[in-house]
Amino acid sequence: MLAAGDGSALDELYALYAPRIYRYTYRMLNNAADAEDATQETFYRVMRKSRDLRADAAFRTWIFRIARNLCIDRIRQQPLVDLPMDATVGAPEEQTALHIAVRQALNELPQEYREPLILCDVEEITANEAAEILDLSVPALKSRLYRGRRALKERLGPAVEELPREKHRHPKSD
Amino acid sequence: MRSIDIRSLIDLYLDDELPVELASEFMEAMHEDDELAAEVAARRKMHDLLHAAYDADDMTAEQYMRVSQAVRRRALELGYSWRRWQGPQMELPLNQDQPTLLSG
Repeated sequence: MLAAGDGSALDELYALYAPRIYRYTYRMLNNAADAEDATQETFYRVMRKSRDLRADAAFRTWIFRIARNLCIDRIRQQPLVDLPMDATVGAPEEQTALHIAVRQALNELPQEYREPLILCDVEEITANEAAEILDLSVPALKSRLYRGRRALKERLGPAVEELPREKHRHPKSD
Repeated sequence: MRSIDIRSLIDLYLDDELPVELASEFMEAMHEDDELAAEVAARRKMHDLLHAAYDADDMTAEQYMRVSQAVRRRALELGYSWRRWQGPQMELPLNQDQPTLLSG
């Protein structure tokens, strides 16, 4: 496949990972323009750092780690904006309000809880991979994930108990 | 099972990480304990809600093209060759059948 040429290899790599990296960075940064910049910069760094990739390392873990580091740098420079209003366009009004409340609740969690929740419960990345991306042991990752879930549920309060279950698109089926 | 707080197992149960026997004991406990069942249901709803809240985050076609063109331009500027990655020690993760690279 690669023998077909560098351009097609780059295109395929981009097609496979750009949408996921964009979604992840958007979820981390809550801002479409920042997510676009972060996705672009992630691929620049992939090109620059490709020699650092160990032969036994999973590419997905590596590229997510690059994206994550970019997001952390961005958040340090510029704290998260409050309401991601452009994230729920087209949804019914009541759901939109609820979804904004969920995103706001997640934003307000400490970063050590927020990141495992985004990776494991939103991105559906395995605990092992998420631990590697975050440079944590698997037990430490799970501990933060479980605490984060409880903290999020406490913040959302009765809204979670009273609602019927929502149907959602599973990222694995993308 | 009885000597520990069963609520501490909720996350493991939801993540399918309980051993089979313990999982079936947990399910039995849910039948007997309405509060436990309600807590599990609430956690599931929260998980669904999280997905729904973040469902509209896809890259638009315009963003996809814009970033793609920028990346290609940079690749040309850098004279970047993806063939550098090739060799006995490295394969680019382009095959969608590779579960370790692409499975969710």
